[in-house]
Parts: sequence; C-alpha cells; structure tokens
Amino acid sequence: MASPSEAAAGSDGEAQAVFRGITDDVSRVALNPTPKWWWPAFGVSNLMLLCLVVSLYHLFTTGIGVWGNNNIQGWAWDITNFVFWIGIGHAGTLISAVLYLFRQDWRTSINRSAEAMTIFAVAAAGIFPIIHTGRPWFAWWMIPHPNDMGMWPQFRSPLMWDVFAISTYATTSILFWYMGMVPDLATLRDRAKERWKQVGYGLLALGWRGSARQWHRYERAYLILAALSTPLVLSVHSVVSFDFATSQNPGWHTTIFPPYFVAGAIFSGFAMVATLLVPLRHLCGLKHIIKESHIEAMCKIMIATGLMVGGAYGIEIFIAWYSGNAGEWFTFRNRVLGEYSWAYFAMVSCNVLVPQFFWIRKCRTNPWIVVGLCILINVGMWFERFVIIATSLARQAMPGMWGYFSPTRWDVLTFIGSFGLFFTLFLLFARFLPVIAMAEVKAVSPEAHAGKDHH
Amino acid sequence: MYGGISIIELLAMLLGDDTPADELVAKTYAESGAGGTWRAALHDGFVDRTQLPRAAVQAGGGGGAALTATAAGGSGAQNGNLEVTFLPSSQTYDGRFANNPWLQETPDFLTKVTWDNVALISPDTADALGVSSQDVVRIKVGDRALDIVALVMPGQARGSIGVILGGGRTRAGRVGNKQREWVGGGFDAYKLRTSAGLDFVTGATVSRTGTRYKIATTQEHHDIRRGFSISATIGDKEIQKKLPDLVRETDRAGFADVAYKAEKTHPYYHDHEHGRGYSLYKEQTYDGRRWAMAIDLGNCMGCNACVVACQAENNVPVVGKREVTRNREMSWLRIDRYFRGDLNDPEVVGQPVACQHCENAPCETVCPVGATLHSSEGLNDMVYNRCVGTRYCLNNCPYRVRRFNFVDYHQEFNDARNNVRKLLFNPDVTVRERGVMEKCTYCVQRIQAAKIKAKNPAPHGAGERGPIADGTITTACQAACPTEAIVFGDLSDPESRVSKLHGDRRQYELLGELNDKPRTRFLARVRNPNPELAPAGKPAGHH
Amino acid sequence: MARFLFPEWTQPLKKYVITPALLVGPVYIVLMAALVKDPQTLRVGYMPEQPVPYSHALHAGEMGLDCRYCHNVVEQSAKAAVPPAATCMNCHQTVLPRSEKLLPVRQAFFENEPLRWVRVTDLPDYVFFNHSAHVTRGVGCETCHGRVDRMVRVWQAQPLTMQWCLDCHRNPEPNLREPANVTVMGYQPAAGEGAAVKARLKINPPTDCSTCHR
Repeated sequence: MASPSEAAAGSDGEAQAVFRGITDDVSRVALNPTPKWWWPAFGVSNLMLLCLVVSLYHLFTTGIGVWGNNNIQGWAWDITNFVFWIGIGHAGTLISAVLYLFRQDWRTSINRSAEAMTIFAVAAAGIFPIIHTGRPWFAWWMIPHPNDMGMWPQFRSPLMWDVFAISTYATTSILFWYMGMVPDLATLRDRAKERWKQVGYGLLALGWRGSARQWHRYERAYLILAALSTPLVLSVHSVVSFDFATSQNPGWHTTIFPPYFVAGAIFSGFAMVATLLVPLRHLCGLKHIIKESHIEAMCKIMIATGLMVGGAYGIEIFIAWYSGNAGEWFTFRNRVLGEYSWAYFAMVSCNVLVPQFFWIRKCRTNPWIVVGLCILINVGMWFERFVIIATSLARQAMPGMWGYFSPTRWDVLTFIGSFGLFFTLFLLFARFLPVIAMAEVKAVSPEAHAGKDHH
Repeated sequence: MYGGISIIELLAMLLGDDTPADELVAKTYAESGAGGTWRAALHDGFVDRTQLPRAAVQAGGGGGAALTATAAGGSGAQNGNLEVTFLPSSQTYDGRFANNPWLQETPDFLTKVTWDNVALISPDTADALGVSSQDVVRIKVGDRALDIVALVMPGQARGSIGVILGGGRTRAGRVGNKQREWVGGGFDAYKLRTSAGLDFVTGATVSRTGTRYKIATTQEHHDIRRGFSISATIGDKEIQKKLPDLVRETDRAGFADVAYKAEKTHPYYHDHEHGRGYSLYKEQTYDGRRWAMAIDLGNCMGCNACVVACQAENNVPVVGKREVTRNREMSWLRIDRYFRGDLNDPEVVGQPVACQHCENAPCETVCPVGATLHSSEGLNDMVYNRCVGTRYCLNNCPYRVRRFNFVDYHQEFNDARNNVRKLLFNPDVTVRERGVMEKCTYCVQRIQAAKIKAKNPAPHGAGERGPIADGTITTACQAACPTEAIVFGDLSDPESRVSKLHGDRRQYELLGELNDKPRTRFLARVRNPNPELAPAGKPAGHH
Repeated sequence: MARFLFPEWTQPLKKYVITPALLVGPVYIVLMAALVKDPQTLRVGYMPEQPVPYSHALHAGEMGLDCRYCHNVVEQSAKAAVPPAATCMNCHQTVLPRSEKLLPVRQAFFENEPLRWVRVTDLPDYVFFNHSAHVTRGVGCETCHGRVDRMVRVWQAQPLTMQWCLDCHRNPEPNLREPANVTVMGYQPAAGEGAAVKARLKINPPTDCSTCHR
C-alpha cells in the first residue's frame, strides 16, 4: 500500500489538491471553532452522564437493591446493558481489522469513528461487570494476584474468562485506535494555529515526522495489530456468551450462543455506527468522504447479520423442541407465549423484520430512514439480551420460585447514564480528534493510484 | 434491657413485695414441689416425671355420612347471601403476635401471604363477583362493613369468604401497626365480627371498591400480577406437568407393590451402566464423613416450624413487605406449595426446599472468586467474606435456594453495642453484610461444634477422632420439626438414620436429571385418602 | 512557530527516565502496595494501652503462672476467656492490696463491672477460631501469641492471616507438641515429636472453607 506522503510527492497537482481537500475537511472539524450544534448535544449527553453519577452514588451507598434484581432473577438490566454495549463495541474492530485484512477499501472512511465508538462502548459496558457486583470494592479479587488469603480466582468460572476477554479487547482496541491516529494527529499538529493545540497534538503525535521509515514501521505495526485483533472479534462475544451457554439454565445452556452472539454483536455494532455516522457526516460536512455507498454497504451487512440472528432465533426454538428436553422446550414456549411475550415480539420485529427494509434501495439511501431503522435495530438488540436473561430466569425448574422482573427508576437511570457516558466520550472525540483516518482515505482514493505504481 | 418490669413483678409490687422476677419464679417453683431447683429445670428444659399419662385411644368405627361434592365444595351462595368465616392468622394468631416480624414474614401455609391479612375467595366465587386478587373489596354484613384486600384462593369453599383475623392493629408496636401499603399491617377484620357470630356470619355482600392493594406473597408472584401474556395458563399447565416429578407421591396400592421406587432413571443420563450422567469436571471423592439430609414428605405437613427455626439459628434477616414483593425474601428454607387438579377443589402438595448440597453443585463452578466451594465432607460451603456478589451462583442454582443481601438488611444492628443485637444474633454464625450471597449451610456451625467437642479430651469430649454418634448433630430445622420429617446425619455410617432413608425405596433426588447429585433426598409421600371423604366423581387414590 | 516535535533535550529523558519509569514503575507500585497492605506491616506489633498496666512478663514469665490460671476455659471452649476481676483479686486481696495501679481492678471487683481490657489478638467476625480445638491437639500458646512471657504489654506477634493459618493447617507437624506442654514458653519440641503427636491424636487439620468461615 502506498503511503500518502509518497503518493502526494509523486502525483500530479490534481491529486495533491484532492488530498489537501480531504485534509482540510477533516482537520476543520477538530481545529475550527466549536460548531453550534455541538454544545447542546454535549450538554444533553452530560446531563445523561450525570444520571450515571447519581445512580452509581445511590447504588454504591445503598446496594444492588436499588435495582429490581431479585432472588429469582439475579441478573436483569445490569447484565443486559453489559452485553448490549459489548455487542455494540464489536463493529469497530471488525471494520478496522477484518475488513482491513480483506482489503475492503470502503472501511477507511468509517474505521476511525467505528473504533472510537468501540472503545467508548466497551467503556460503557465495562462499568457493568464491576458495578453489578454486590461489593464492587472487592472486584479486584477477580484479578489474579498473590495475597495474604492464599486465594486465587476460580478459572472455571466464565466470569473470569470475561475479565480477560474484555480487558484484552479493551487494550487492543485502544492501541489499535491510537496507533492508527498518530499520523493524523501529526497532521492536526501541523495545521493547528494555537500554541496549546500544537503542543497538545504534538505530544499525542509522539514526534511523528512522516518519514519513509516511520511509515514503514507504522504499516507493519498496523498489520500486526489488525491480525491480533481479528480473533478478538470472534472471541470476545463468544466468551461473553459463555456466561450463559455454560450455565445449566434452560434458555441459557445452548451451544448456538457463541456464533449467534457474535452475529448479533456485529449487527448491533453496525447499527450503532450508522446511527452515529449518518448525522455526523451531515453535521461535519464529510459527505464526500463518508459516501452514500459506504452507508449502503453497512446496511447490506445489517441485512446479512440480521438474517443470521433471525436464523438463530428459529434454530433455538427448533432445537428446544427437537432436543426433547422438557425444561428447554417450556422455557422457549414461555418466552414466546408467556408473560414476556411482549419483549420477545419486540425483539423479533426489530431484529428480523426491520432490517428487511434495507432490501429497498431508498431505505439505504435516505438518511432519516437509515437512522430510524438502525435505532430500532439497537432497541431490538437490547431486547434480545433482556429476553435471554430475564425470561429464562423468570421461570426455571422450581415453580415455587417463579417471578417477574420489574425495573426500578434506578435501573432506568443507570441505563440512560451509560448512554451519557458513551455520547459524552463520542462527542469529545468528534470535536477534538481526527474523526476520519485521513492518511488511509488518501491511500485508497483513486488519485493515489493515478500516478506511477507505488506498490 | 429497656428498664421495664414484668407482669409478675408488677403484681408483686402491688402486694408490697419487690423481689425480682427470677427469684419469684424460683420461689414458686420450689413451693410447687416439682423437685430439684428452678435452675436445673431451666437448664434441662423440662421437669422430669411430670408427663401426662398415656391415653388409650381407639379409632371409632363408622363416622358421619360421606360429604357430597356440593358440601365439600361449599354452598355456592350468591352475592348478598355469602358466608364469612373468621380464621385465625397463621402468623399473628388473633393479632397478638402482630409485632413479631419473624412471624409476619413467615409465609402462610397455604396462601403464602406475608405481612397482611386478606379475605380468601374461591376462584368460582371470585369470577362470579368479578373480583381478582389484590382488589380491595367491601364486605358488608348488616350495617357493618369491612374494606379488605381479596386473594383468590384455590380450595376455598364456594360462596364463603374466609376473612383472616389479626391485622389492622393500631397499638401493636413498631412492626405490627397498620401502616402504608408498602409496609403492610393488614386490615382490622374485627369490624365484622360480633358476639352474634364469632366464627362465621352469613348474608354478606361483597363489592369491589375499585382500589388495588399489593399483597406480598412468596410464591406465585405471577398469579396475582395482572400482566400481558398470550397464553395466561402456560405456567399453570407446566406446573401440573412438573408436579409428579417434583413432589412424588403414591397411594397405598402403589406403595404395596414391592417394585415401587420413587427414583426414576432419567432419559438424559448417558452413562446407562451406572445410571448416572457424566460430569464435565472430575468428581470429588469422599473418604470421611458425608453429611446428608433426608426429608420425608409423608411426614411434612408444611407447618413452617423449620422455616422460623432456621431464621433464628442462622441470623436470617427479616426484609419487610416491599422486599418480599420484589421476590427478595431471605428465608433459607422455603416450603413450596402447589395446587393440583381443579382449582376450586384442589389437592395441596407441599415440599420444603433448602440448599440441596449437590455434589456436582452448579453454583460452585461459576463463582469467579471461589466463594462457594465443596468441603471434604460434602458440604457446599458458602464463604460470605469472599463473596463479591456477582449473583451468578444464584442464577445457576436450579433449586433457586440462594439468597442475596440486596441491601444492608441488618443496618439497624450494625452498632456492636446495640442491646437488641446482643440478644438477636447467634454468635456462632456470621452476620452477613450487604452484597453477599447466603444460603442453607446444613447448620455447619453445629457440625463444627460437634466435631471439635467429640475430639476434645474427656470429660468434655471423647478424646479422639471417632464416629460422631448418629443424632448428635441436629440441624435447626430438624430440631424444630414436630413430625421428624427432616433427618440429618452421616452417610458414611451405614447404620445412621439418614443412610437408611437414603436407601429407602421412597427416596428420590429433586431434579435428579441434572446430575447434580443432591445430598438432600426426599422421600415420596404415600397418600391414603379415606374413600368416604373423596369428592364425588373422583375415585379415591387417583392421581 | 515551527511545528511541535519533541525537542532535542527530551531525547535523554526518553532513554533514562520515561522508559525505565514505564518498565520499573508498575513493579514498584505493586510492590509498595503489597508491602503497605501486608499484615506484617499493618498488624504485627499492635500494642494497645490497657486499663491496668498488667505485665505478662512479670506474671507469666518471672513468676511462672500457667496461662490457664487466668485463661481458664481455653481447653474447653472456643474462646480463651479474659479473666474477670475476681481472678485478679484471688491474689491481689493480699498482694499489693492498696496499689494505685490496681485501683481499676478493685473498682471492677467491688462494683461488679467488667474490666474493659483492650483486645489485642482480634480476628474478623467472619473467622471462627476455636481455642480448645488447637490447645488440646498440641498447638502451643506461643505459636500464635508469641513469647507472652517476655511481653510487658502484650502485642500481636503473628500476622494471623488466612495464608498463615493455612500454612500450619497444611503442614501442622512443626507446630505440634505434647499437649501437656502447650503453655510452656520457649519450648523446643524433641525430634519427631510433632509427627508422633499428629499420628497419635490423628490430627488431620481440615482446610475446608467452613472450617473457619460459617
């Protein structure tokens, strides 16, 4: 792959102008004065973040009892939110790593913001495993370390696997995101007018000069990280699904969960990327970089993954019946027909029916429709996790302990708060960091290949 | 503790005698001529040779005429001519124990209601009246009226409203007083009760007031909740299907068959040679003692004594009505109660369920910090101080016997100098903090005390490690059980009662198909209903 | 203004400060945290002021009183028992009956109020240690409490951590002696004494969770 500096040096004036255009447009977002739409958006997401702070204070001082969790449904919205956010955090790595390895050039316009979104989603997800514990101040016991109790964590527990899967994923994603950003940070540094911005971006750019040697190492490191992250796309949500799949509960104990969860995660991840990027490309004037065809490509992926998820719903029910396991069969009948049928049908209609609209071209190109459908898909994916967790636990083997989960206002506030955290981080990113991988976009733009062959 | 004086002290004072109460009692005891001293009698717990003479009783032949279905099923009277019966509360009796939170939170035997008294209406009558559970109804008898919450109760006689007494007190104390809906306290049913009809009155009119009142039950939260579902009866049907497996029963004829065995071979077992499933993990072996329990359903009558005993022994908190409505009752031992057959004339089956101490415990493998592990004697140990509270064990327990401290239920007693705390808690059992899981331990504190004592040198112990005689250790529930339905002991001793019960042909594992290998085994109930009492159209012993 | 790159003078910083800090820093932080949190740092040596300046060195050491004279139920019960003032008064009715220092003891004795000793060896409430189970099996007092006969004011001699308890439960022999000698201070067990006691009394200390946590 040609590095942009080489390409720029060797191409004709027209190509240079295009490259400068890209740089101008992307840098403008970070360097120009704050646009008008940003402050209200930031204010609202800060208010939501405040909900998180308040609800966490109440949670830590009072106990898990502020939520609706109970002795029948030990997990409810807390783990639902966790799996929901972790799922969303899948698109970034998929776009960055897997599509990179498959040389899908259209990824370059969205990969930076998708990665950022991944990291913020993982941050929003990562708080739940800690805050959902009854004594979060002892959560560090899950990290293996020598101690005066002579105790180690139990590695048979899927929750332990989660600890490693998620921390590895978070670390790799952050490295990947940051490393990919270094050349663009250097660009911002060079274009910044104020001294504090120059120094700030300069520190973050780690002394990037754009020399051939630096480019060479950069590309190598990027490839290695991409290769390292690829298995993570599959592993993280597989491990998360083990939380359920390795239990003995009917409705959880299912071998289909790992692929089903991964497909669902990519599904919801793309839905969230589209939800964020479609408005962003309008607001930041990046329509010529994040092209319509890119949005369409994402919609097509959503059709594919939506069908996979729909297939999984069908297989689940079929296997529940076919297995002859009475408990399993009841759990699924109850899921569809019982007290939680509203949640089940919300899930099916949002996840299976809604993406079918993307077969229609107009639904893929009209930004309003795309965002609307993507939000519905995200709602559906939240319900999917809720259905798995709450309906399965509601009616287990002992009818003497059957129950129904009702959320409290603190459940709702915590959930809203996690959105606050996510949006606040994303808005900060959109304001101060290069939202699009300029270097990569230039490398794959037709002008880069117009001159002599640089490969 | 609060500087009060007892009734006998007050009476003695009025007579000009200010001797302390304990001395008064000792004096009276000495004068009674029962022998020995008061202290010795108090220590022993009984006075020797004062038992009543054994009565010779013989079952009388004959008996009354057979009840007809109509009689057994109630009068079916119409509104305006309904019967109201006054029933003592299983918790507060006539209200005198209203200030005792342990009793308030002990679920009623049949209704499973806590913290309130209710009006019981049979399903048919409720349909006719258009009343559903949690509706506040107005019961009018003559010029007297009572607003009370209704509970549709299978088995209640048709046309008869069962009003439970004991609620709505105003001067019972901090716990027993009538309070807001979320705190409970019930309704003053004495408004309807006059000397004209102490046990029942007739000619009652029932109408809905339009208000609703939340009832806190420990079972069937789903039945009294109005919710949307496509198939409202899917749960009830499933319960009827599961029941013969959960609570195994037979009748006299079935039991007379020598081939009868309550335990079944399960279709999911792969290892047909040993009749067991395979475990993913290497199974633990036991070369020493193996603690186990047997619960004879034939003896259990669901009286709740075990539930309260467990609560007292193990520092189990009372959580209050609001928490019960959220399914957060903490009782380690619950008695599941199911109705079988026609809801207007059902059979009731009950089953005490606590931690089964599975040998392949599903809860143990999922705890990330190893807070619940197996002991070398087969106990499923719960280590409160290691627990971080992920609640995964709770989710993975098929018996749903684990209880989580959702908030600090002992908050009131956190101060070590609190005088109530000094009297309230068993010092041999940890008081659990918020955010930790807890569950039945087989009264491990009693086991450890017995083990240590047995090995201590004479005169206090045997002086060496030897068998602990069967019956030395009783769990709190066992000690309180009036019918000896619960037996605890050591399986490694083939002569122990529990070993023999585990070998009984009535024994079975609850949810045995999961291959959890529970250490608690149930003994199937043998029913022997009197054919003359059997409802019409339903032959005796038919299940 | 030129673009901001790391100036020349930062190069040695990278080499000698930042890189070593990144490499060694985490290790240093972990070590310091472990050291600060270690019970050896936190607890051993805890020596609170007592209401009466009772000297174990004098009573148990110099005069050779047996531990069990005051801690009399140690062989039968879970707790070793802090003696009532009456136990002190057995002697101090005649020995130093007017001592200023013993005023709280006499006060407690005559007013039937307990003496408020400050507990030195205090395990958390969720740990159930049984003295009788250890003393009658030949675990000496000094194994856990140290050389009390040399302490003027008692201090905590051992960390009393779970790991420390487990070390002995897994390998009890070095700490076992003839049960008759449990109160002897500075006792040197004969070769093979621990193993012999272990075999004779069939000592097999459990390491189940419920052994200590109930």
